[in-house]
Amino acid sequence: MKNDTRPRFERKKENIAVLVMILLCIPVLFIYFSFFKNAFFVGGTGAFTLDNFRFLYEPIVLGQRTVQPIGQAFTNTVIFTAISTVCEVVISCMAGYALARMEFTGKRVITFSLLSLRLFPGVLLLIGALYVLMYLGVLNTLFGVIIVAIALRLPGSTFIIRNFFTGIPRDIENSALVDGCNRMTAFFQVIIHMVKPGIASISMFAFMSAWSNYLLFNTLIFNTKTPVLATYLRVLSRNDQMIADYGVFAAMALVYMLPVLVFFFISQKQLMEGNISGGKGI
Amino acid sequence: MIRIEALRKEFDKGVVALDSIDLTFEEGSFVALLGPSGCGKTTTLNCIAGLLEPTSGSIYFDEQEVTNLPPKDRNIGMVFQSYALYPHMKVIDNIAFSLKQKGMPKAERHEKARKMAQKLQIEHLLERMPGELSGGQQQRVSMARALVKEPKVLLLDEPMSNLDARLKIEIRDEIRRIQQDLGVTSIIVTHDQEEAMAMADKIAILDNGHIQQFDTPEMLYHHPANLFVAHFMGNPPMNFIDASVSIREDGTWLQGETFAVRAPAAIAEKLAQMDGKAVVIGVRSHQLDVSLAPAPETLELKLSIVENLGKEVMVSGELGESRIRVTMPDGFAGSYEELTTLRRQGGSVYLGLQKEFNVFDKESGVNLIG
Repeated sequence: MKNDTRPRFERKKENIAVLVMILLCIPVLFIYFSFFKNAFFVGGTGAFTLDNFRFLYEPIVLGQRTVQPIGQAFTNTVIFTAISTVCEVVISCMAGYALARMEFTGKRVITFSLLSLRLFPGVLLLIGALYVLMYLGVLNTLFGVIIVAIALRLPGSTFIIRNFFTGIPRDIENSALVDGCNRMTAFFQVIIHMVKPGIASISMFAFMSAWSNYLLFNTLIFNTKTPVLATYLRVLSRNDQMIADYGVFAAMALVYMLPVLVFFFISQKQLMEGNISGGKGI
Repeated sequence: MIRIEALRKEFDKGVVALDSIDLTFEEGSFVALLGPSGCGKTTTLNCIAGLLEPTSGSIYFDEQEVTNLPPKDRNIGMVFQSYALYPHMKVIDNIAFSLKQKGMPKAERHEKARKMAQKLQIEHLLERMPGELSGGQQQRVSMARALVKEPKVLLLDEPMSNLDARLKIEIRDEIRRIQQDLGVTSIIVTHDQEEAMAMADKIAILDNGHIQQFDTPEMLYHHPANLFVAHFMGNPPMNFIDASVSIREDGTWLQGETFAVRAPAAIAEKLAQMDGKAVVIGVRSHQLDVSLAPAPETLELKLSIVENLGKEVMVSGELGESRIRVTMPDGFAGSYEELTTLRRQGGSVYLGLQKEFNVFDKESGVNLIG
């Protein structure tokens, strides 16, 4: 860099740091590369093929099993991700604002329990959640999984966004109130714009966790009528001969990964901002 | 006209921020709420704005009671210490924000915002974001935003405490000019007595949630109601000298540890019934005669510091337990060099009280003269 005015010894140290980082990254990159290579190249001959991607549009036969095309699973995952992300962001914004700004009895207790719930591993609640869903009669449905997923993630994201709301100067809110807003219009016209990095942060985490949710579907859904991408992938590893077809597996993993990568690169800038001040979700 | 009656505000845990505040502001006047931090001046302002709900008491705008109205229904404009501009909006939208809330169409409200911006000389900034403006510019934008809705009352919460000294004076004249142009009743909160004196028609001095005095700057300066006001107002600050009243056949004397002076007739009259009372003499620098030679009925001031302020020379020293600061009057015989030499030799100057000064009750702090 031409405008680099740092002293030489500092640049030297930086070069060493970069070298160490590259050395550490190479093995990881190698693993990724050798795995995803399977998706495009036939094992043995090494010829290029897109044959492994046939699951996108037609049933494929692996050993003695037929694997349905990915369409249904993909739709379910998109529905699940969209609903749970939107609900999580909306609810945690409203709850976070109330906790940051309003006065009501039990505020301290709720804030404290948010924090402790956030530290509590969600897996432990699954058996309880199972019985609750059974009681409500929504076990084995996408709706049931959605409400559990939202409930498990709410404490974390509410806590993060609450801290963003707390950081807004009171003067700005007061100014909006004086300028003719009530709490509601002030919230939507002024406040919400000032927590944009926070919203980016929680929606990113909500999206990633919903998209890759395997645990809930594995526990709360027993049949294969409601497949999502995570459980769809599992079908391959449960192959009768106990040998997975790595070509198809890698192709599916690529398809599965793609939306997350895209979403991540789009919101990366705001995410970094939010990550520093907000901290990571569960 | 704004009327505040028996206003009281308690916060959590029984902290009383304001107690029995009674104030009446004339239509079109400029009033300052002045006091040290924590005295309740901002709390008073927030109660008037409706941002805080008073514990008891009432507030009237003209004859309408507004005590429990939300801020948006009071037709007030407010300028905050931090300016509180909306960071995600362009300057013009910031100014027009309150008009938008009233449902005014875009073209019309932008037109009004532009006119107001012209008055404040910020029309070249309208397309910028608040983050790109300097402190003084943000201040003007926030003034424009407060004034564009033609408010009944303009509230200013320490509007100049984030500006540098020169800009402060510029903006303060500007605010005064616009206030007079528009004739809007204005209330400013400040801890800077000079600012309050320069801008306000009347000043209310608060301490500990009570009003100490509500009067014109002139009255506050010359006739402070009590020791607190006397301490607070004026620069350089008033000098305080402990003394006691002693009524003799040849007049009413104010007697201190090292001096005794006869009170002028007007003051003696007020002190007629107070023989033996412990008092504090409050005297401003310009109310003192200074001489280098001892004379009867003068106060000896042993010099400890001589300062050359350019325009004038200021000396200070100890008189009994209190510290006295005096600027040398025009045409004073001794020069700066002379006084410095005098100080080095451990010398003194002699102060004579003129006809006007204040005498406070040492115990209660009340002004016995005013």
